[in-house]
Amino acid sequence: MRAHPVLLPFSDDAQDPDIYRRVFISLRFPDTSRCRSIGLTSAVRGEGRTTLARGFALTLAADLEVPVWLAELDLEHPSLAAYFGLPPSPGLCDVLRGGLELEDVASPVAENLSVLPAGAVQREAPRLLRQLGNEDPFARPGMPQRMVVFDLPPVVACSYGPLVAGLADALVLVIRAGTTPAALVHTALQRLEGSPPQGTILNAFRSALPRWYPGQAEVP
Amino acid sequence: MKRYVDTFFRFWWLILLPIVALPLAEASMVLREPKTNVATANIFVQQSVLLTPGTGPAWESPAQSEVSNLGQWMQSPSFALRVAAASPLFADSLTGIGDRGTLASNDLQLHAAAVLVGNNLVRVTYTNANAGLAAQVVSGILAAARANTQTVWQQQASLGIEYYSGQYTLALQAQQHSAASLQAYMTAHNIDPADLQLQTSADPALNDLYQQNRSDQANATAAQQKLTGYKTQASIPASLADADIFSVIDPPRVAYVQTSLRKKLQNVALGLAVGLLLGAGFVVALVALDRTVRFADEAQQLFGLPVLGVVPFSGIAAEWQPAAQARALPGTAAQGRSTGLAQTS
Repeated sequence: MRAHPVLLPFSDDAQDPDIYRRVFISLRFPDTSRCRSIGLTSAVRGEGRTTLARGFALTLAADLEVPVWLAELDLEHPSLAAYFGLPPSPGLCDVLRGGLELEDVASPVAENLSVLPAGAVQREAPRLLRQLGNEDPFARPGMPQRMVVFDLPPVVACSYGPLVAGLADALVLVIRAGTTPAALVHTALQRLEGSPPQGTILNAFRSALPRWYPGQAEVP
Repeated sequence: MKRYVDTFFRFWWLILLPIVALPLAEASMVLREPKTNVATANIFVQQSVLLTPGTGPAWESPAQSEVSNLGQWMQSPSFALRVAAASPLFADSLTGIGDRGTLASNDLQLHAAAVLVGNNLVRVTYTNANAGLAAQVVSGILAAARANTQTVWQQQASLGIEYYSGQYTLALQAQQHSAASLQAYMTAHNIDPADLQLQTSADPALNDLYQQNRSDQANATAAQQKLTGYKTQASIPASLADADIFSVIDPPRVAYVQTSLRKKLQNVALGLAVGLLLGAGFVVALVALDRTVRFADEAQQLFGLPVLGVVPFSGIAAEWQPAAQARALPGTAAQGRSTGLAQTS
């Protein structure tokens, strides 16, 4: 295993780990699952899905005793490897193609946190995503207990998004405040009817309401 | 309501812009208002001068017909050039694109006015920053109007003679015809002319003939009177008759005019009201066009899902700051990446 730096998350106030903790404790997981997973998806790209997935992973890695994996399932637009300074492959694609195990492609980036990048994906992304939806490698028998945070593809912008969303035990829909049209969110929820999200996270919330406005004192 | 308040505070500077700018612009215009002088002259109009005799409205007073004439004349470039010929300062001020007649006419239509004051009284005004010019223009208008009136007077006399000659001939023929019919009836029924008045009450046919004859007589007399009037008018030189048509009772006087404080305040208030309307309209339009999700309670209401968390916007979070120690990360791609993560090795 390669040596990794120790990352202390959230040096700025905007990324308050308490937000992720509050979300985490309000999620429900099936009792039987040894490998629990949280999936973050959105209607379209650019809603902060990956940023929040990173925040979740870092918070849970610091808080939980079980190992935390951050798995990138947005195969069409991978970004985690570049972000964490990892080589683009091997990644989940290589696992799906066969020959490699999940542990082989997990790169530790912080204490208790490993990242599973998407890997080098070419035109086969739709096929791999469909395969991923049918054969969940994270639910294989004998998988040690872990917490997996899925950075899922968007459900409206990516046709396989709803299929992959079903992998997560607890699905959360990210909505970018003031940007995502309500109609798109409705479409996303319709597509997620098979595996409905447990709730939403309103990201990039900005309010110009003054403090004296009723209810504004509690707003973060 | 929440959205309206939010939008207002989000774009307050854009909304306040018309609210502040419009009254300020209005106030600035009021402060920089040029000095205005109004030259005024009153004329007494003795009788109507109509271009087409017999066609003017019977209810029109002499002053009304003069106001109507002046209004028409001021639209005419030839009349405006006559005014300019009588007012050198006005003539000098006619600079711009287009012929001088049109320029002068446009200026008169914009700054000159003939206002009805009474049945026989008309007020002629002209507004300009230059008091001397204003007085000259009013004098010029009066002179040009006098000249036009003389022309119209002569035209009216000749047209009147022509028109009423025809009318008189027709009326005479009608009278002769009705008189012959009456005479024939009386002869046929052995009616004595001395008993005519008495017989008309007993004989309706006779009465009709009698009344027709009287009416034709009256028409012939009226036409004759008009004809005589116009013949008299034609026999008097227009220059002599002019004094009878209109006379200047108040020569041009110039008064400095300034917008009242009340009017100025009204203008500023109007600017403020328009600015407020624009600002409010802007907020309403922004809210109406915004179809996005803005608040947690909205999201919960719209989608029926609990909002598990609200992550405040941060430019830093959107594009995380590179950590100072990012070089310690495996690989080099993280350099320049924004992580927001403090890092120790």
